[in-house]
Amino acid sequence: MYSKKLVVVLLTIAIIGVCALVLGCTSSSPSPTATTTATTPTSTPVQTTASITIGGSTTVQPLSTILVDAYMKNNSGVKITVTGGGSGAGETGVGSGTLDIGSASEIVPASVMTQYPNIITYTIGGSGVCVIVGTSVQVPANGFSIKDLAASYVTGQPVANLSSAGVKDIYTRADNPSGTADAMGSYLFTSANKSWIYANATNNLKTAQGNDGMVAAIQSDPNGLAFVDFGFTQNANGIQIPAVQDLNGTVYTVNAANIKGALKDFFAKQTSSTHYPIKLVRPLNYLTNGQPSPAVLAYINYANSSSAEFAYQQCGYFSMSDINNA
Amino acid sequence: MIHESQTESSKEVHGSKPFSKLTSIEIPDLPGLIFLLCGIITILIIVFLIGFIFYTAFPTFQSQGLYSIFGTNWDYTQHQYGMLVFICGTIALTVVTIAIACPLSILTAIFLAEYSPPRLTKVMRPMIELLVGIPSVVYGIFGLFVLGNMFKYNINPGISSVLGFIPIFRNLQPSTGEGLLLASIVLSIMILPTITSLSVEAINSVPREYKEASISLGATKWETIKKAIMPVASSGILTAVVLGVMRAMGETMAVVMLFGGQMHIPGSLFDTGYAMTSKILNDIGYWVAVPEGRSALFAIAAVLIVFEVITVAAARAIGGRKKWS
Repeated sequence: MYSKKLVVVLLTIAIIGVCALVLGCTSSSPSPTATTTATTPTSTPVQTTASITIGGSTTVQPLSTILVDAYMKNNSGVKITVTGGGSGAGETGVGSGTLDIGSASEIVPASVMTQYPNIITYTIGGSGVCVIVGTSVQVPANGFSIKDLAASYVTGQPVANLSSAGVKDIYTRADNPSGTADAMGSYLFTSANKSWIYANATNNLKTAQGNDGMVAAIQSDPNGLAFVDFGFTQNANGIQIPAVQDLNGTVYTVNAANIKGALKDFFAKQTSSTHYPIKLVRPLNYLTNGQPSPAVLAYINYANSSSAEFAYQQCGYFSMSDINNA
Repeated sequence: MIHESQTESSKEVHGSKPFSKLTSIEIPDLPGLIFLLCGIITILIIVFLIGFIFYTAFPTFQSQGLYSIFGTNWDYTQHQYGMLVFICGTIALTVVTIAIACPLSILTAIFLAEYSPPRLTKVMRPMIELLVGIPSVVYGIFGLFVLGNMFKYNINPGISSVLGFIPIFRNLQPSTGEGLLLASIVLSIMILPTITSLSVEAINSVPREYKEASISLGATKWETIKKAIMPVASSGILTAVVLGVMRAMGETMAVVMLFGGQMHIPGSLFDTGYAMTSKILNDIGYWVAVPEGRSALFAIAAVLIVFEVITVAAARAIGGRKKWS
């Protein structure tokens, strides 16, 4: 009976092992869906074999996934893996050598540059951060004011204007630090106090992991309020995107044209924009630790090329050429 | 120089030489040396692991003092690392998990060992042990997408509508199904096979004579189990429970997906919280490369290890004095 049991166990392990081997040897990556306005994705084949790891910003992650998929199709010798973890993880990961390319949806903080002075930033595009609310929230015509949003995030409880609109729960990012959260924190509280956007024992904020987690939280909580990257709102059901009212009463509607206009002002080193709050737009960066290898550089160049335009459109982000043409 | 010890002869197995008293040193045979080497390697790994954790955590304990245990504010920019919220979250999670898992596991073990027909036992035991092989992230997904809505729309409001006058049953998070009860139930399913399997072994290892003697004196089956078998098996069952507690304390993936991640101490079974392991997972990506942040997160790990050591010690102390009544 013992030997029969052993045979059954070994047989089961063998079958599972063979299945894993067969599945692992087949490649079936989904091809990117090109929009009617985008060109067919191509890239100049790089005659090299390389293994590249990209990690960091969950904002850049879906863009990287699509770019990598297309790139590897034309460069079969290059294997690239994409992970998340947040902009902070991307910055320290590339600095400490655990990542070949770190991704960040922010300018690399001075503290990180001090620790890793060899980090080189390659800006591949830009995006904007916006507020989202659930479907049970009665969004006012002028949206929500920065003052009300800031007060709600400090206490974790919606202030009168928000609660009367139906907001009951306030969400922030669980991963700390996050480029998206830092952008919203800088906008609501100033750069020095941007850490107030994160959950702590006094503000009692609800948390969600990553941009996709924030969207999912609002989709399942119709009375919730959160902030996400604009790109994550594009194909999301069950959410609303309210306008944002600045301290001086300016109402900013959230749409691609306004964010693109603000990004143009951002990269022109303007301190404000008439299109969208300039603190809510940010660059999408690839980071390397020192000069990248030829394989890494080739991929980064592809990400910045016109062939990669389709990926930005698919994600709701903006490539550098798109921003410059705004 | 090799000596042969006469006093240790009762422990000798043919062809082997046992370790002896300090007065005479005996070199073991080759298998004995290999076992000794394995034991030393295991101990070295444990010493290195725990030593590294405490060494990395030490600067935080030094700078924060008792605030690290009893403080509630965790802020990297303010250099404050109070982990009371996380400690209470982990303790609450563990207590509720054990409260759910223990009766279910132990009663299942009694059924499998004493009541179940052999054929049914042969089917049930592998099925229960199959639960061990399911990854914790799968449990988390199951809890999130399958149980989450059930708890949000049915279980939480249903229970709180009946028992809500009792503070522990107030539905403090009506907008979500995530919380202490959901996370605890999923954790209970995770530790159920551990407690059940070890408890079955403990019950089966009770000598038949105890059972036969009890029955021959006129005791019923339940009386035999309660008064003859369980007291003998209790130390093994307690060990099983301790292993379950340690697994519940250290579980990360399912907890981070189901506990809610809100930085407060849960006020009821349906409230969210924040466990120690979740904090490490959420922040380690960036802060592992920053000395102060890394030390703070390792401090959480160090406190978790201390809790597990205290749990084992308490269980051993209770087990030594335990009398089944």
